[in-house]
Amino acid sequence: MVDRREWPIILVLAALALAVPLLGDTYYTKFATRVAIYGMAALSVDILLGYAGLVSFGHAAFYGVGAYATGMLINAGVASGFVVLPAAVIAAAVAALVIGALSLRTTGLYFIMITLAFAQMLYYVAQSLRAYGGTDGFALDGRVTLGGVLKPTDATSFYYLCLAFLALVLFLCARFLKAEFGVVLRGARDNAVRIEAIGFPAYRYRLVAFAISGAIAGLAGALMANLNQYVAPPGMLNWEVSGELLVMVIFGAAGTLLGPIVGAAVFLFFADILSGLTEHWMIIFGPILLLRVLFVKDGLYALLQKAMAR
Amino acid sequence: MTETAPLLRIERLVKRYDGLTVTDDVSLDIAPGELHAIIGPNGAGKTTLIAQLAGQLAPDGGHIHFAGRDIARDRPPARARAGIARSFQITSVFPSFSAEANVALAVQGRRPHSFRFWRAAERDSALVEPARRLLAEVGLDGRMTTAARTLSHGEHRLLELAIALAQEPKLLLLDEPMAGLGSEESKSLIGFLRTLKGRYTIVLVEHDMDAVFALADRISVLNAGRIIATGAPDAIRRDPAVRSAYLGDDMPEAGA
Repeated sequence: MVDRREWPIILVLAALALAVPLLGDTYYTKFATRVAIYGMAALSVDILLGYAGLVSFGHAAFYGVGAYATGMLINAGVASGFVVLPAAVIAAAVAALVIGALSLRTTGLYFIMITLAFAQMLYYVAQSLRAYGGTDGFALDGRVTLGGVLKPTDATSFYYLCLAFLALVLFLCARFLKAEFGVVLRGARDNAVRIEAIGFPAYRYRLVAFAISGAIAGLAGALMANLNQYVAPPGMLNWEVSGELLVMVIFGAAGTLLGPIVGAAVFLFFADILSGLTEHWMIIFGPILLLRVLFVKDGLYALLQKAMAR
Repeated sequence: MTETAPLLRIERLVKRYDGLTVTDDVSLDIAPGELHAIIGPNGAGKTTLIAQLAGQLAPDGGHIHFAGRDIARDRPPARARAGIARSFQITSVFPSFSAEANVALAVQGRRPHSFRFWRAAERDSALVEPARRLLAEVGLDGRMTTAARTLSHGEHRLLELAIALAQEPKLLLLDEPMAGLGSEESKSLIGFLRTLKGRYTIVLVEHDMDAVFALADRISVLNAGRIIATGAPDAIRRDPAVRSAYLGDDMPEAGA
């Protein structure tokens, strides 16, 4: 999935990402942390949208499950990241396996609606959790610890932790999307009738992809819970989160690994600046998104790729 | 040719759409190694029959015994794995894949599963080399790295064939492989299909009568969902029911 010509872009982006804390202002570091986390969540959406041809409008569910699992465990006194993070990822993967098993029996618009419906169900379940603050959510007792080596308490080390996870996820995605599994997934996206006619039960491959995608969204949710040290249904489980992740993917370029991360950066940049101007910043952002769809074929990251190909 | 047990036995197959019977009590035995052509006017139900054999359509009644097992209720992937490959009348490939990747994916389909997440498939010579060999065999060796969506119509027909062959099937279902080809292209494809005779058991649906009579061991004529005649090419040519179904038009004359 990584073209040789992409390496210069990747190296520049990586260098930029690594250099952010050198600016010396925690505002930028925190902003970059959010980009890394949202970028990871958007990447999980893109695995389905770009590589499997499935529009999930319910990824807030897995993001939220990862965040809630993290918050619940930390507040139960389990602080070790080696327990909390895998638990959050597994919880999100299991949720994705169950929701995917049912949703993937449908296609197209029905798939979009049913994934949305499941995410909304979880939203209301979380709202009804009195012990965890209901609609208001709850504050975390602290962040996860990662042994004696890493104490992700200050903004910079937590940022590098998120960046390391993002790099790991990107690397693993690049591997499996190029491996036999990824080829079948893309084949099923290209032509669902043909992939079955040559012996692949598309449903099983899509379901595994859905679970992997859910697991990644869960990891992003777990990291966001740590960053904010706060978990609540709005901002974690509401449908707007699912929508924003799709917007990030479309902005950056679906079907690329770095596109969703570029998309997340652009989205959060505009959101920060524009929401400083007005509460109704979407009124300004909406037309920008329209311009992207109308005039930038395939997304911003594809534009970068093309510039490099020249 | 019918002494050996048939590889494919179609038994009283029925398919209906809203009261319209598109496959009407079709029974047919196909021997191993036979090239059996199915002809008939437009709307006779030829493609519907192929789709029921390959599993894209579920029959409403009847049985399909393949290599001794009833596969009529199996989904397409199970049938592909049992050894049935098909080509499509309307080209059905993976448009964003290169020609080579299209065929390599079909080779990959022969493996028990593809839940492998680490090694790049395009560097797996056990997938890529058979794909290259097949593309060379059908005459697409110059187009290996071309995206399938940019291939010409004639090249698409050849890619269809290479994908089906890559499955190493026992039974090859070819749905109008000549559709839309010029006469030169048709001629060379007939030559190629002749090289497949005997190596595969083939069911060939085709409108091109030159191809059918040049290639077929036996021919079945389908009309309004029913088989109205089955036999050797010469017998079919002389059959009065067949001639009237075709209104005596495009059947080549005996000895033509």
